[in-house]
Amino acid sequence: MTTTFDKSYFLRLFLTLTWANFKMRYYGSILGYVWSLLKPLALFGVLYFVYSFVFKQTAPHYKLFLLLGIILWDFFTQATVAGMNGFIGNYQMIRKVYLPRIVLVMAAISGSFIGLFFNLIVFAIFAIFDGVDIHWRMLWFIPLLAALYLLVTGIGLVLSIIVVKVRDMLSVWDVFLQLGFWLTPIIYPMSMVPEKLRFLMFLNPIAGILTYSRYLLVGIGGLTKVGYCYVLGISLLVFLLGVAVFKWKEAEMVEDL
Amino acid sequence: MQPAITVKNLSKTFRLPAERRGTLRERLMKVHRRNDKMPKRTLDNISFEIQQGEFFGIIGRNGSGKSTLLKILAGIYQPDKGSHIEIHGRIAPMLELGVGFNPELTGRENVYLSATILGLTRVEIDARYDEIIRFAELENFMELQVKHYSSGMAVRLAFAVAMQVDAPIMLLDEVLAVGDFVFQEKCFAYFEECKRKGKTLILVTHNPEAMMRFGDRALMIHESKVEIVGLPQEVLKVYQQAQKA
Repeated sequence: MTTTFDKSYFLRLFLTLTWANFKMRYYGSILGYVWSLLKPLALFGVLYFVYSFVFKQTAPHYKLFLLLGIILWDFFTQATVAGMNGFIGNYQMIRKVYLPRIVLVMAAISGSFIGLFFNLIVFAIFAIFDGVDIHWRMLWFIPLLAALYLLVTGIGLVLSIIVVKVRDMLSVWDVFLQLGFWLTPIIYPMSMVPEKLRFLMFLNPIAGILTYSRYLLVGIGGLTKVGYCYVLGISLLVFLLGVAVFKWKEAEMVEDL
Repeated sequence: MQPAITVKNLSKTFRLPAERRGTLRERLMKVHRRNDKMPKRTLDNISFEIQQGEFFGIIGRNGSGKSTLLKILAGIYQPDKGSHIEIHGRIAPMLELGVGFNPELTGRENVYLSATILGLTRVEIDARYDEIIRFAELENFMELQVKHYSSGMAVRLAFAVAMQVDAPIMLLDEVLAVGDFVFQEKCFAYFEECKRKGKTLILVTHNPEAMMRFGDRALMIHESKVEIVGLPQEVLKVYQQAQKA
């Protein structure tokens, strides 16, 4: 006895919950948003200081290179954690209302995604001051953003299921994220990674998204068509996998909440 | 006329581990010890029918399985294999008042959130918004966060929103357990209206008054099984005897 949900209901629910999540994340105010920006900006400030003045990094646009990396990584961190909590965090609702639960996880992630847009505006302001030329090439960043969203949603869906059974998954994921921060080319460019290891680096889809975003928006590094398609493809794959895992285990997890 | 809900041989078994190992740490530390799952039958071979337009009460002691039954009807839990449930007409998705309310959001935002979960569109909510707040008597508090509401205010708002649902079948779990006398009277007035509109209402309650006044028929669950289905007075009699025993 599974009732299918009407598509327009699904969409309405998704939009309303996304908006509510966004609102709560940013405490419903402009100042709230400024606070949330503080964390990535502080990290950026420290790293920029260390790399420019201590390690004497002189690459052109290093500032933008670093900022974009941190903004995208910060989204990845926040959204996967938000997605992980999308299921257990709404346990009251799940146990009392019959609704498509996948929406709860997707809306949690989408709330963070709206935050990313604001952060990208901040990045754009930095970029203008730093004298980056506007170029048609930049439009290719949009599919990458979509890929990032799909990737994060796929991961978030799987995590949201795991965390029901394994409540300390949050701590485990924190360790992953910490390792990920250093194993992903965020503060260093892909070109600094030895040729032999680059293949391994690209197994991490975030690495590709970061590297190509930097090329498209800042003009540092390069891009291959195969690599670009690979990044989009793998993200879609992770998303589909996440949906499949969620659908498979959803009913069982509802009883375990 | 076909029945609104037909339930045949409905069973529900939860598989509960002997010991809860909720964290990775616990799992790793006890990986060498077995953790058998014990089946627990919460509902055992339940069968009944609810006619369209009927006001159907479900009673039973705590832990007898009545809320599980309601959750299965709503689609929240999946029944065991071999169970047979047929439902004609849309069921309102909510079992309790105020679910989906978020204390951090304002009253106004919660109305939109909650009503959306219940299936209303934005246009519909816009049109009924004034009516909702008038009914809840919260005209001056809609921009206040719900966490600053008294529990009575929150319940009034939740009820005002829930009343807007226009599904032919309503499932209500212990709605009368919250709120004061005035609130109960409002609930009763709402039940009257539902009856007039010909809605099917299924109510889990401990409140004998509501059952006697509105119930067409009632079902008592005792230790996971159907004890009796019949007229409210008969069912209540059995229920009260069981209470004493």
